[in-house]
Parts: sequence; structure tokens; C-alpha cells
Amino acid sequence: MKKLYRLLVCPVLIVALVAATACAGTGLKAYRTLGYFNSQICWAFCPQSEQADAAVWNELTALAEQIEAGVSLSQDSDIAAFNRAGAGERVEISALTYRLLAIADDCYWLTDGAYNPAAGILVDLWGFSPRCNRYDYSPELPYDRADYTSELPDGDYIRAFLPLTDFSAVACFEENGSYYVQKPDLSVEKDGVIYTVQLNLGGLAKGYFIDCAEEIVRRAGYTEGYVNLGSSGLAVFRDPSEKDGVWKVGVNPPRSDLSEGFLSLNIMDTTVSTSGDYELFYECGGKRCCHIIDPFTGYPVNASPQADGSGIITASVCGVSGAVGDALTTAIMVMGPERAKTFVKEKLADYGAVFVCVGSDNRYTVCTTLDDASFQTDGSVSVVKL
Amino acid sequence: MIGFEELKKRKLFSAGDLFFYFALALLIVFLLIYFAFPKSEEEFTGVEIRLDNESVYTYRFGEGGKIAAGCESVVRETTELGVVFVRVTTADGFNLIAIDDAARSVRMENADCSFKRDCTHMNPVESESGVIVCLPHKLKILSLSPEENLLPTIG
Repeated sequence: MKKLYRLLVCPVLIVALVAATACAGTGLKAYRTLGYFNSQICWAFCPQSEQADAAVWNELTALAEQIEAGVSLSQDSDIAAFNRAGAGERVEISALTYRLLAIADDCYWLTDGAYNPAAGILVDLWGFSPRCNRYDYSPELPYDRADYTSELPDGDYIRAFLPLTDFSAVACFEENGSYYVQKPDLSVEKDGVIYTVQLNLGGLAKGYFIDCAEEIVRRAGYTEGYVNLGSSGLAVFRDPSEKDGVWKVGVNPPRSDLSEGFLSLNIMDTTVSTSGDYELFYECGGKRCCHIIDPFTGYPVNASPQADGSGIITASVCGVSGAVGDALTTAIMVMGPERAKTFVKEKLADYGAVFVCVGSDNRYTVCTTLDDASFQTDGSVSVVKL
Repeated sequence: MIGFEELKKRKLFSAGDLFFYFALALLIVFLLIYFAFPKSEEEFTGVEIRLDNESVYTYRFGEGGKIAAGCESVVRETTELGVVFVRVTTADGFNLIAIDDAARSVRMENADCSFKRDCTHMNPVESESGVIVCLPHKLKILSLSPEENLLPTIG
């Protein structure tokens, strides 16, 4: 009997081993497209019928086109029209842009200005607006550099532009069924050029796409798979290859000395937004200059003259809407570790927030409000529960 | 109750058990090799160029390239010193792709997509999982039989 038991153990072990090597996400098909928001959109799903799948995909791409047309800085959008307008001018906007500005306003006040969509002029000064990445880019404005990645901006411009980041002075309103945004009567003259408030809703618009995409996919009856937009926004449904439907979502390592799998989130039926200083950046003057600009200092996060290389390098939020999540993760990056810990404990205790800090000693710490079952690390980072 | 002396005399494993455990160990080693190491380059048979998710050109190593029907005005193919150059031109601009058949390597040689021409700095496609993406031009170079990785990541 004992012998029989021992012999039975082997096949059972073999079956378990083979089952353990089966890949998550099996049974899914994916549609992908490039170009919208300068990212890739991917919808992974369990197919229903070719016609139904294609109808949802067409709706998703039409939505991306509509949102991008409203806020893109490189197209003739509402936001581009606002940025061109003179101080004190009123610009008519679409209902969609109005909605996005309303979300941006909520997030601005919730984060005490750490999320600030009026930092657009600083984003341009640091070379992160679309015009600076054009193939035929050449300096047009007095503050432009021939190669913006090898020369830091003039400090006088940084100081001059800080007053133009007052988002509280931007007014949005509805009048007779039309929507408007009023440009503040604020301007700065420098080297013979007059500058006004500039908006940038890029990040928030991506999250808004994720929110609408999630709704479209659910309404069509798809309950498994996910939709992602680049690597910053994700709506996950259920993992069809897991009994409990929970996805293991890997957080991309923000530094080369961290490995794939250094941090992963165990989640389902939720949205995740992420910001980080490692996707869009250049190194100049011994600092890593990323695209997230601190509206209080005018410098990229972790790159002010006082920065010692420490700070938050990536932040993710799950459970809130994608648009709000995008704004909050940007704000967490701006706040820095101590302020972010307090903010997350006070304002995001009921949601899943996780951010990774690097110390001046180059050690990594994961700070999170997630419970133990909702995340895992590979042990290379220390964990602080908030 | 088994006495200590009797227990010492007993064999830990019988010959049959050892055979099964040996087979199990072999299986573990096989699975490790299969999943942990890249597949042989024999499975990397060529590349496909997609423009806005539509296939416009395919190249099979040892056989040559083929421009998709209707894409002749967009794709042009030339050969220089054994390297095949594929130029894809649209209203957005151009991408020049170099295919080295002997080295089974495909790289983005040139493009006018952005100031830093990010796609030209991406690693060449040399295996099934390799991919080069030019976002501004909505162009993608990928293996003919890409490894479909559908695990979501963030960040």
C-alpha cells in the first residue's frame, strides 16, 4: 500500500509541475495599434465573434482619436488653441475638454497643486513638448537650445515662468450650452517675447481613455483580458487562465539594477495608472531630467539644484479612475517621499497606492497601502507598509 | 512499533522508486531548459514590417523579401553589399530598414520620425521576441512568428 502511494506521488508531481508552467493569459487574442498619444493601445480579450470583437476595437480607436483631437499639443486641439490665445482671452472648448479640465481642477486642489496642468510652459522649456521632438526641430524661441538634451535651460527663464503655472486662475464655465475656458490675465515678458499660461493635459487624457475603454469593453460583455495604453494606463478584467481571475501585473523596473519581477501587483477588475522618471528623460549636467516637472521649483522631479539623486522614481495607483490615477501618480512623484507618504495615508488609504523610492545610498524602498496578498517583490527591495 | 535497529536496516528507496524520481528529475531539467533558454535561431525565420498594423513587407531568411500587394508605392527594396535595404515612405516621413540575411539581423538604419530618431537606437531584431517600433510613423518590425506575450505590465 505504501509502495503504491509512493508510486502515485510521482505522476501527481509531474502533472502539478506541467500545470505550474502553463502561461497566464492563455486563450486571449489581442488587437494593437500604434500612434495614439504617441503610445501603443492593446486590447487583450477572449474572442466572442469576429464581428463583435471588431466592433469594440473600432469603438476604442475612434475614442482614442476623439480624445487626442481634443487635447493633443501637436494637433489643432482645444488645448493648442488655449495655448495660442493671448492673456485674458476666452476659448470655446468641447464638452470632452471641459470634462477633462474639471477632473484636472479636482486633482489640482486634492494634491495642493502638486498635480498642475498649467506647468505646460515649463514642460516646453525643458524640451518635452512635441515640437522639441520633431525631426526638423530647430530653435525658435529665445530659450530654445540647439540640442536641449545637452544644455540645461537658463535659470532666469525657470524663475520667470513660475508665476505662469497658476492653474487656480484658469476658469472653465458653461454658457448657453457651450463650454469655455478663460485664460488668466497673466503674462511675462522676457527677451522681447510675451509668454502666457500654457496647459498640458497629456497624462490625464491617457487615463481618461482607459476609463472610457473599460466602460466600452464591459458594456460589450467582455469580462476577461485587459486594455492598456502604453505602459502608463491599464484596465484589467479577469485572467482567464487563473481560477480566481487575478492577474499578476509586473511593474517595469525603473532602474537597470532592478530586475523584471522586482514588484508585481495581484489585481483584477480595476484600473492602474503609473508615472515614472525613466520612460522619457535625458541626462544632462549629472542629473536625470525627466518629463515630470515640479511646478513649485520649475525643475524636473529629483533634478533640482538641491537634489541628491534620491526621491520617488515610480508611482502607481489602483482603484481610482484612470484619469484621476494619472494625475495622482504625477502628484506623488512631485511630492517626494515624505509628503507622498502622508498624502497616500490620508487621501488614498482606501485605494491601492504604491511607489518606489531610491535613497542617496542607491537602495530601493517600496512604500504601499496594498495588503500583502495584492503585491509581491523579489526580495531585492525593502517594503514599507503605509 | 518499529525498533531502531529494524528501521536502520530498511532501504530508503526501492529500485522502482529511484527510477521514477530519476524520470522526474529529467523532466524538471527538460522543462527548465525549454522555458528558461531562448529557442534556437532556426525558429526565427524572418521579419514582417507593419504600417498602422497592416503588413506591408515580409522577408524570409534564405528566400528574400516580398512587398504586400498594393504597397508598391510605399515600399522600395534595394540590395547593397549583401544587405537588403527596405525604404518605407508615407506622408509622415520615411524609415529605412536594413536586413542582413547572413547575420539574421534586422535594424532600423535611418528615419525622419523625431529629433532623436529613437527607433534607430533600438536593438536589432535577432530573435522571435525582438521588435522595433517607430511610434510617430506607426511602423513596427517584428518576427514572422513572434512570441505572443500577452501578460500585462505597467510602468
